[in-house]
Amino acid sequence: MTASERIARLILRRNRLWLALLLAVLAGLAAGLPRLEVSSDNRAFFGRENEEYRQLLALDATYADSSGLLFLMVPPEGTAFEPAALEALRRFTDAAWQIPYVLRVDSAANQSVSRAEGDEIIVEPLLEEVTPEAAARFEERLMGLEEAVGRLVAEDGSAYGMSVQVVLPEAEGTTEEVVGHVRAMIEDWRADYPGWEFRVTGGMLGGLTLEQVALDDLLRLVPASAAIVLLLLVFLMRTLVGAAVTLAVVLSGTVATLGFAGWTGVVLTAGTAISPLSVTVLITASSIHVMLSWMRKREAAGPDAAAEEALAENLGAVTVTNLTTAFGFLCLNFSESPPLRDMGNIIAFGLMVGLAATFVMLPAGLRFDRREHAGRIPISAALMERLAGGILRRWRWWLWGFPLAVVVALTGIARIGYDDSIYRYFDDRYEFRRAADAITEKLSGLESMQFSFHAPEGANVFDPEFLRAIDRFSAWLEDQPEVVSVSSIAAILKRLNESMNGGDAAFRTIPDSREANAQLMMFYEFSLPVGMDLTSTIDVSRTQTRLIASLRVADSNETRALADAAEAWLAENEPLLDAPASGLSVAFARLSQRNNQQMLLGLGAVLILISGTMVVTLRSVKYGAISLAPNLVPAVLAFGLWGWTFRDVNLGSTVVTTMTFGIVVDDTVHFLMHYLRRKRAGLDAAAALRDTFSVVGAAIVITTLALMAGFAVMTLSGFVINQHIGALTVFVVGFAVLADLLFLPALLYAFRGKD
Amino acid sequence: MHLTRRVLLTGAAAAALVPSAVAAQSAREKGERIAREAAARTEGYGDLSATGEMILKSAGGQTSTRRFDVKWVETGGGASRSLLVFNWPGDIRNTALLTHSYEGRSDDQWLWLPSLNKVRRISSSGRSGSFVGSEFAYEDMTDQEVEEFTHTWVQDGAGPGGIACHIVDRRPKSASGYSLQRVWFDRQHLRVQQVQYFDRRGAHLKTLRVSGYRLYQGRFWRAGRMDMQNHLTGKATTLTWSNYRFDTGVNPNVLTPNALKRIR
Repeated sequence: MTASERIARLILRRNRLWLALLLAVLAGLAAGLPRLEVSSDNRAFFGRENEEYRQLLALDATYADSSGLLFLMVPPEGTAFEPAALEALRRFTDAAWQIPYVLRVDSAANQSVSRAEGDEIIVEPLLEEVTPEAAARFEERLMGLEEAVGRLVAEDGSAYGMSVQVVLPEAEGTTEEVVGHVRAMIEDWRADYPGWEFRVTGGMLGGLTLEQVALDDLLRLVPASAAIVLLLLVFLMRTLVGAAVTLAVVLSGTVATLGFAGWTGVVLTAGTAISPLSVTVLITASSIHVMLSWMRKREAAGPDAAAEEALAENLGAVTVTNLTTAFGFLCLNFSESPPLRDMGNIIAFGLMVGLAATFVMLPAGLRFDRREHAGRIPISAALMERLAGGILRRWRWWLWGFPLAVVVALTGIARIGYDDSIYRYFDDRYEFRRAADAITEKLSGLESMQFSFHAPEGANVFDPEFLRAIDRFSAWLEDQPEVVSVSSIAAILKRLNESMNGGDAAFRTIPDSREANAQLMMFYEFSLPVGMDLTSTIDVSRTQTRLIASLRVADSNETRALADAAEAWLAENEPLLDAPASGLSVAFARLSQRNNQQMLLGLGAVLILISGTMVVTLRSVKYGAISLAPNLVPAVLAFGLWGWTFRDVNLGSTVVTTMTFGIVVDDTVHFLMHYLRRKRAGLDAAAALRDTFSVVGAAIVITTLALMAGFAVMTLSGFVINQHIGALTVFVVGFAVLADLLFLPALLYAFRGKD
Repeated sequence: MHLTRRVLLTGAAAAALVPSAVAAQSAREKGERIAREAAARTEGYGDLSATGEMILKSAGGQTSTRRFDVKWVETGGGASRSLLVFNWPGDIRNTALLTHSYEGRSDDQWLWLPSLNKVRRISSSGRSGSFVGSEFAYEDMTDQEVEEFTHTWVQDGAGPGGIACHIVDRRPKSASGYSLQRVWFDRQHLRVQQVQYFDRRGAHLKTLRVSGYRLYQGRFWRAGRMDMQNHLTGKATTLTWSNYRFDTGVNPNVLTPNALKRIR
């Protein structure tokens, strides 16, 4: 009796004991479920050691920290400057001051404008009272206000924007309080102003949308994928008992995954909440191997003996394949992004519990199917043997066809760029994305880039040379096509100097002394209304100031390219200014690139681990090496196809290669283990291949179908990271089955003689 | 935040419980009386000078300092003039803020910018905004005109440090940065001990605590220290007063826009 047979007997003869033990462990894990939390932090994607994230924290600490809300208000066409619309605008502005924790409100109505009148500089709101004359003057003055156009009013004057800064206290539920108030407010406006369109966006809404996505995915897609793979199982294999037991196994895996997250304090986000889907699909694949084996055994043996034999036959292979899959997921720990690391860990854990559940529950459960012809293997052994014959006849085609496909794929990979943005992470089923698109179309872009400059040693931000350098940099930025507007203290000081000199445009310059600049800024400070101060632009010690450029970009490739170009321009031209491009947009734009570099290490680790496992399992260095080819080719082909079709990838895509490596390897393990067993039993390569096809071919095809169907459900997520992971995994798994059934046999045949 | 709301509601409920409009009227009268009496006790000083130092604290704990000298002179009929000259930071040295206050109408203010050699009038909209980046608005630093508010006595109760106080609500009659200020006057000398500022939506925005009072010339109480805490942003400003000197003979005619240019 072999070790596998002994273990199989031990599991089945004392099944109730094992089942009780498993249920006890599951109950313990389930107790962690109430501890689960869903995150609404849109910075959750950044690790503590991420450089851009640290820059963000430094910005928060240096300048007044607040979260923004951006409103879009579109009046009926052609009425934007009619008195009724202006009255409405004033009402919206007043209403915004009622938002909880509001710090400041900027709208076209309350903008302070300064004008010189003799010795007096008058600073007043743009819209004080609404009269026909005031309305006419309002349009002219507003459209002439550089910093308002594109932000507080559309360039064509067809829509208004309003920016609201809120300081959120660090207490539970404050985001919901603010967002609830804002939504109710907009409902009121919609009721009172039919014909108007209202939209709102901002970091807080992004966070809540992330939370919404996490729940949508967990509550809809995870059950949907389970339903689809189980239906597929019933349809292809005709076993209700098998499907029912698999459901129990899958539930165990899901409880384990989420319970583990609860106990270890993993906070679910839009990236991690969908993790049980992967566990479900992968466990089902393992179950399929056991079930197919059981069906074959049933042809010769009774229900009990067949269950034991099937378990013994699969114990080794299924354990190894689940271990390699778990390795792949554990290597996501190389990622910089905490949600991806968490996802890897909870899936790996869920898989291990799922593996135990497969062994304890499945064979024991299958014994209840006492039909004469239990189930049906949907793909006949004869068909697979014919396929093997056909492949062997043209083995050189496949041997050279795949490398050629890889070369074509590499040209597709060269086209791939990274697109990461908190707005474009959601598709348009979420109002957050629709609002972002509407605001980008009507007003400025929502993306921005910041530079926090330190004044030279011993000076402060009012140093004229320092300010002139900032001014030159602003001018360079304004020349870039992606830049909508630039705000800096240099621009404020130039405008003040002009006003101070009777509006003479010749004085639109930075004054020559530090004192003059400081005093001008002091005058400006005296004129600012409540809520407005300079702390969002100048730090308390007056040695740092920030410049903000708002951008209109199609994707984050443009943001990243502009950030790189700006940093290079500064290094080359402005020795006084030394600061990296920073801010949330830049951090997201650089996130995938950084993560990809980290994941190359992860991929290296998974390659070494899994190839080592293969060498040990197959007891052959040669076959371990051969196995690398069909395992690496699918990812290359998948990304090549992606490059030629969807083109841009994001944070999620960067982990797909590492993550799928452990999945793809499974079929290779099943194939090679069987092939070598036959070959070592004395069959020649062609006969061993034909036998391998007839025995494991069907399993490979069916598990692949289940994996593809299951991961395809992930593409239905409204969260683009999950869409990409799902779609790329479908691509990889699809190419993997082709590589295993076409390329691997050709390789084995080509290297048959030298064993 | 909830606590504040409860305090306000309690105040409203207490007012509602009072059986008649007569009682409400008397709360109003009592408030006005306290405010007028408090104001009267600060008047009649003639002229006065002092040095102020502001320490601005960010929510993160960073600090920054502003220093200035101020002169006040009464010009009769409830009107006064003041001149505030900055000493620190160095690049705003000698920058001066001149204020003419009148009874029953809004102030006039001018700023002298020495390195630009210009005097500029400041329009009134900025007066409720931040004073040189601090948590004080200009109007928070000075004695408030009784006529610009309606006053309602709320109750008598303990102020900071357990001092027995009259608590009076004042609401601005015209546009202001605040919807309501709740003032604690100590019962013994009617000195302001504490002010709570409520923003436009009625949320408790800032709290001012006044301490270190000393008696000058046997009749004028002046504060030594004013601490303003912003509850929304977490920022705070401490304003310390020193060198109070009365009757130094300030000539009101020196406190005019044209005379500003002589400061150097």
